[in-house]
Amino acid sequence: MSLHCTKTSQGRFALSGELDIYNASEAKTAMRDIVSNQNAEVDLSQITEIDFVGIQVLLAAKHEAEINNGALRLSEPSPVVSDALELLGVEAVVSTPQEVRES
Amino acid sequence: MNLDEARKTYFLEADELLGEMEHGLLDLEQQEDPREQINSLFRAAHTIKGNSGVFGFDHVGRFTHRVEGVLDALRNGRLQVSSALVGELLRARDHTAELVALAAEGRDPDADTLARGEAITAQLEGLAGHSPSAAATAAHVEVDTGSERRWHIEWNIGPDMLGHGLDPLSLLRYLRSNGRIEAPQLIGSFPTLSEFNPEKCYQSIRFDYVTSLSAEAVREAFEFFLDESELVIRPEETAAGAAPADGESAPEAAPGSVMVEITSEGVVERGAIDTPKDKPRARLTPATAIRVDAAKLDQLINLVGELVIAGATSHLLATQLGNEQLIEANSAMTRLVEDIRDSALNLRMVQIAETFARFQRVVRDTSQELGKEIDLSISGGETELDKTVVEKIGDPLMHLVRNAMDHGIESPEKRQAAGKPRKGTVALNAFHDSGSIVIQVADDGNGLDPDKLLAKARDAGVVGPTQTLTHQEILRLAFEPGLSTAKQVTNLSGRGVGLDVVKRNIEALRGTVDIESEKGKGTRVSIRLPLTLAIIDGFRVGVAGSSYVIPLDTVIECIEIEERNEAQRGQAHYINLRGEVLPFLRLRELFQEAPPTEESRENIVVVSYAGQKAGLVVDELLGEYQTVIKPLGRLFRSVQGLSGATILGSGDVAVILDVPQLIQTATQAAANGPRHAVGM
Repeated sequence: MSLHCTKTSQGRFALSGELDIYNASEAKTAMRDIVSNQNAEVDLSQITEIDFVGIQVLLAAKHEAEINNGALRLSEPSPVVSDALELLGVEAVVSTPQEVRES
Repeated sequence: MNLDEARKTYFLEADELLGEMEHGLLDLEQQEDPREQINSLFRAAHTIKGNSGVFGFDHVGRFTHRVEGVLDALRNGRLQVSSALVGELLRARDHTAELVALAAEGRDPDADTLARGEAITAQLEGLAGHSPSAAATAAHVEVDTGSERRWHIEWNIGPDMLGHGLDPLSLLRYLRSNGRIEAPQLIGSFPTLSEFNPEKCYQSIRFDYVTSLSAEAVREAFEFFLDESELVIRPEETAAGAAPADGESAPEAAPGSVMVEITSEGVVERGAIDTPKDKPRARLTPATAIRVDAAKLDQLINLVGELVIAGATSHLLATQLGNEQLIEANSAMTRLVEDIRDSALNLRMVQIAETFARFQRVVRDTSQELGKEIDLSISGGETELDKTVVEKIGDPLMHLVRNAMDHGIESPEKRQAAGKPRKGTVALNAFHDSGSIVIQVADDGNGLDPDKLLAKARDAGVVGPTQTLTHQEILRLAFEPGLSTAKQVTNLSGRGVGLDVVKRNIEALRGTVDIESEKGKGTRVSIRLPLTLAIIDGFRVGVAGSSYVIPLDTVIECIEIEERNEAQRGQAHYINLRGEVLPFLRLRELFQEAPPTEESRENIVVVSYAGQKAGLVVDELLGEYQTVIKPLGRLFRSVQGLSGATILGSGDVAVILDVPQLIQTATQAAANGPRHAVGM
């Protein structure tokens, strides 16, 4: 039960593990670090578990980036992440591979 | 992370529901009109299924779903109650309990368990006379309205719900498994990340739900989330899906008139909700009881104990001072303290009915296993006793009941040959008797054979070859280790655990066991236990300046011994009490107190326990006294005749006498001592 955030390159991060209530404060800290980079990108392909808490953290971080006139790209959602986002009707927050490549 | 409260509630509720199911199933065959019973069984299974779905315990959900299908067939009269069906449903209940227990440990059932579950449902559905798929459909029919309709759902999630371990996603997933979630929307805004509390919920959810579930079923899905949510469920103006043209088979009221609004205050239902014959209720039983940690109760009882002692001190001082008003005030307080003590002890009292009810199942299963026909009759279930005692009485009772079924009751053929009804009876009974509770296990079987018992005891060397025993003494041999008269060792009793273990367990609770039996007619084992282990009303007596306390429930009367009969003092061990022989003991001798002075008078306190009487000779009678039992230290463990100690108001220590033990000693001494009585 843990959440890891690794920086893969400048402005690019990868989250892995469980993005849920058990790691709520770790998730918040990780997202704050990530959002402090303008136009950061987060790879979500290694997320194995996500709940409503995890979704909220992602949404709040994206919201924060937009307030600061930046952007946060969420990319490569793992199946559990896609499923949860769809269930809540917010699947649009994830950038499609095309968008990622274009940027 | 704290233990997930909601999950805890789920497991507690599942436990209760499973208990209800067991009870209901065992009762089912006895009912003339089992409809009410079947409905509550159905509701229990249904609630377990629903809750399991919400928490993602899919194995429990899937299994109970199929059980529910069979119960539904029963409810609709497509299936009749039969012994085989009840047996199979009981097995299904057990399997559900097993699955719930696995879920509690966070484990998934292994292949073996699943296979067993499959076998049970297959059996059940075989009995129900339809294929698994048909049964599954049947189950749907209950909550399904048959046609799909669309609901608008607005769910304002309480801000703290996430922190309490409830995940809205799990509920949405559950809903999705029973319908379609369309156009979900999150509404709400987030603060900046620095102010963002990840455990707080900032969003509400709106979505359309297309399902064939009834309004009731949809609402029920939200049950666990209700406390902290506001929920509005509205049907869409024009029903989606294939609504039946004639509208007759659709149980709902006209679209548009139904509105279910649920707030944290409770459930407000406006308009007409669909009205199936009987709606599954969200909760089966209203919450009339609260759960209290047993340790808190123990602490309360302890404090009350101290209060009793403090009250006695104050009462004593008031009496010494002779201040009328103070004495009066103290008496009032003493009365209140007594009431508090009684109420506090009452909190721990539970009816024995629940313990007895468990045996319905045992008797049913065991009689089938043994190929005997046995009824269980229960009486005195409302008798109350201390919870700590109840917890410890289960195993000994189980042993006695099994013993009665296995060795007591004969096979139907034998019974018929002996001119008895084919069906044997095991009876459980409980009642209060002089400060004790008596629990009896009786059977109308073949009874004990005293000759066989005695022969066996002689073989084993428990009884000497020339020793003669009374009928009662012979029967008591059944409680000696290694003296089972069973010729055949079955897997029920005869597992190396004999009645001697029962006796030991009971004695550890300060209780006694007795047995009555008549050959060919039956056997009755009586267990006598103290009502509580904490506080007793005592009768204080003095011997050579020391105080002793006799449990008041055992005291029958007090008699003064006239001082003539000097010659016989210290020799006789029994007196003639109104024509009855009463053995007695001199506490002075027993506890080696100082010899009597010239003018000291003697009194006899007549005590009784379990039908036996004895006299205790003391110097002074000091009156009633509330006593908190303090256990004696290890040093005193070998001293006979003491059961505990207590602190008097004056700060002195008094020992509490172990009356059963003393009666036994007195009876023996009288039997062995010189044979002349003290005339009264």
